[in-house]
Amino acid sequence: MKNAKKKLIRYLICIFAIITLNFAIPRAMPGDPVMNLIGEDVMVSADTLNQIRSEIGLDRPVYEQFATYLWNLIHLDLGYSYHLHADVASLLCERMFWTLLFVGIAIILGAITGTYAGALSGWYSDSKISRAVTCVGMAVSCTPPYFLALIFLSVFVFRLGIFPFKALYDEPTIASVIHHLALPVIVMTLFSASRNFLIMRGSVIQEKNSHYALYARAKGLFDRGILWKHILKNASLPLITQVALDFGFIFSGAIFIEIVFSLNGMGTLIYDAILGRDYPVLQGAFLVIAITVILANLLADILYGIIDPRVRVNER
Amino acid sequence: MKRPVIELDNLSVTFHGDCDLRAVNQVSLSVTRGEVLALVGETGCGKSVIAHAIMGLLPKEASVDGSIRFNDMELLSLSERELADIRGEKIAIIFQNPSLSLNPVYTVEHQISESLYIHRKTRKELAEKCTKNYVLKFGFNPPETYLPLYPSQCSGGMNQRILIAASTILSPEIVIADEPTKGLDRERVNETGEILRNLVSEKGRSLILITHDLEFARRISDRIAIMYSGEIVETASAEEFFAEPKHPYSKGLLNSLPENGFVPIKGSSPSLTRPPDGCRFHPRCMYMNEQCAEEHPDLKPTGNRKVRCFLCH
Amino acid sequence: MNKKGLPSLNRYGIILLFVFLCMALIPSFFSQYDPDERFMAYEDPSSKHLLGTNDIGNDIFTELIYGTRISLTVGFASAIIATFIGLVIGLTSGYYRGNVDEILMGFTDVVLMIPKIPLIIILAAFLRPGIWILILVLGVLSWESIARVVRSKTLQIRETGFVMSARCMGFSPFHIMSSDIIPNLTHVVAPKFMLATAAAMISEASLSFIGLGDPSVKSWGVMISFAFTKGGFIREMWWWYLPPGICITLAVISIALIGFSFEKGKQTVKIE
Repeated sequence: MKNAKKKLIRYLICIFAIITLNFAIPRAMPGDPVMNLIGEDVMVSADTLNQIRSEIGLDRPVYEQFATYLWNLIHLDLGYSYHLHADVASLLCERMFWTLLFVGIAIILGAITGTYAGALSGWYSDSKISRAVTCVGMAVSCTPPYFLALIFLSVFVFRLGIFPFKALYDEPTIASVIHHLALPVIVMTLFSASRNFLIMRGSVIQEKNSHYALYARAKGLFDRGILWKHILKNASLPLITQVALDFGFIFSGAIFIEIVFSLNGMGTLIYDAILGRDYPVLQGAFLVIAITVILANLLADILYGIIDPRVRVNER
Repeated sequence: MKRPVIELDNLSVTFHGDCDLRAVNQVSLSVTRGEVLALVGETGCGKSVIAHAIMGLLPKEASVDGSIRFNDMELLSLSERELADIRGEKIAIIFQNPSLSLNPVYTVEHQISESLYIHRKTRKELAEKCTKNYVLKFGFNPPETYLPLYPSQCSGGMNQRILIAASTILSPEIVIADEPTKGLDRERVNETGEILRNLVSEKGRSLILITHDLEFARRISDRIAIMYSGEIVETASAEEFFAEPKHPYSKGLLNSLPENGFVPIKGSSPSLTRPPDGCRFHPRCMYMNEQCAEEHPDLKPTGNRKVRCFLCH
Repeated sequence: MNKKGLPSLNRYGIILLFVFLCMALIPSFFSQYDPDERFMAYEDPSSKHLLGTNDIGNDIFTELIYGTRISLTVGFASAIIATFIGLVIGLTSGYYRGNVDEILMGFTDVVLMIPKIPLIIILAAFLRPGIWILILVLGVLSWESIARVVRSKTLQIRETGFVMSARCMGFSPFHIMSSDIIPNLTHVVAPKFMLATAAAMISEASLSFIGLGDPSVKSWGVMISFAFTKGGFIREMWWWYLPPGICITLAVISIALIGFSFEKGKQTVKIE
């Protein structure tokens, strides 16, 4: 349990570090700290500004401010957006739902297709198809995700007009949502699948020369039976680690894809906030995204422990 | 004479790479039902290669000539699928490295039962019952304590026994044990010897024992075949061999045993890419003469044994 | 090892990278114009302007060529910073072990888990950085994986014969590190270095796309961002936004290929 405890502590420290960073950054940045906290180019009267100034209490000692900040956090108060005239927390909730939906689907699809294709490609690593698919996979994984999205947008939306442009749905029906989300999900899936594919392929190529794979063959397992029954479990361990490490990168990619397709998720929220210098929204978004990524990491760690008995078992 | 279960006829294995390496050169062997044949030789002399050739597990860069007949079936002409049907069920191998040969992410129980799932399509509960019964013979008592373990939780000796159990649960006609006592201490070696001997006597199976441990070979084998530099240089019954080895290399091997004074054989094993002309052992042989350096001796019978040496006929 | 496999990958990677390096170092060889020269705006590709012109009349092909050095500089410079930090931390951690190791690795783990791009976005949104601050920030956020591999390799090397004897003979740790350990780290650090370069290039392009890059310095990412915001996309001027994106992809592929080829092959089952 010692290892697990250490890990949990690190996760908690990380979350605390992010919360602290979130507190410190706007106060440490150049410029008027009040503006940093409420956003620039905001239309408020001088009176309101003074009121805000005293509310935020920049004249109070830092630890008091920090305490207030933490207090607010616990009550899920992430501030107020003067640009959008809404609570940051409620804005984030709404947008985060769609983003998580689309990222979640894409990650799952990407994991399944990437793993399956990667395993086969690694097993039959000398075949022409395997090599060709590997080249394609490599090219896709090296492309900036937003660029991939741009290409898809220009081909499928503008040229061919198969898919709609903008927004999450025309009418709030499932069919419409699917129609709008289809392309972003495809792009995201391709991106995440290509990374999984390459890792899985490498992993399988490495494992297929192992002693236990040979012994499985010696017991009478035939061809792909060895792959699915023995190699897959071992080969997926580095994959889980990598996906966990990658999650931040993939989530960020999703944000850019959302921006390209103009979906009403976190992506466009962040993009508009950048343009309008709506710092409270940006801070809230950072906090939420960062914690989501860390939780995903935690999940992956737990998953790893379930699949690899050596991790659980050697902690006795 | 009993009919052989397996018969190797002029088997040669060549590895192709930057240069060609002939690991096994014209080896002819046979094993009859219920017999334990020990294949003895130094590391690198080609014994494991023969084992892999019989199982059809040689890597892509190896080419095989000759014949391996198992119960009237020519193994070298079988497809991979046909071989897969035979492996584990009729012919099984126990590899050298038990801790590496077992898959670290599956339980001991699963890995021992696996052959049942593969070949007999047994259902889980029945397979578990069979396995539980079977491991009792290997000293895993009570089975419930050991079966749910993972290989990383077991000692090397335990993994060795688990591997033997996993390979033999279907009672294959031939078991090939590749260096089963490597790295084990005296007690474990004796234990392993017991287990292997019992396997053979109980169900009349055959065992090909590959080892460089002469003591162990003496204890459990019926016949011995000595290999040197990819060739068989002497075959004899165990009794006759240990009483009086004929080939100079065999003599040297016995002399190097602790009880005989640890006398080493001078020189070192020849390279398999360019073996010496004539008799491959002649550079290290103290009895050699001109003929040995020029002509290559054949494996010829003398009495009940066969020897590859001009001076022994 | 498959003879057709690794060496040929390496070859393509090196050739590609070499082409890009030429474009970066001797741009005038490829294009006769100056990137700031103005011509007619929104022109289609022609024999005079291979990729047409942008909204203020600059020749796009020239922009592309001159953008090479910027994008490559961002990539390599960030990677150098990241590698330097990673080396220092990894070496210290691996060499001194004990508490120093625990603290440094704990720190590394925590930093590893913080998602980079959201953090960069928020920093960039406040700072609106120039290109060099951007490089610094990218570098300072990418050292973790390098630190980890340096640390494990250092732990290994530390126990080898020649290092043990150096320590017995009383050489200073600094000397041991520089003469014995660092040279042996090349083949684990090199692939990570390449990876860091590739990641930095993609990050810079992405940041430029959402307007957080340095618009005064025309990298490939900035070109695509301009194409998007200044009407190139709507007018379907694919020659404006496709080439820079393709260049980014190709540059990253070439770097990735070279990075892969540094990795050694693994164990296979040997028959004795």
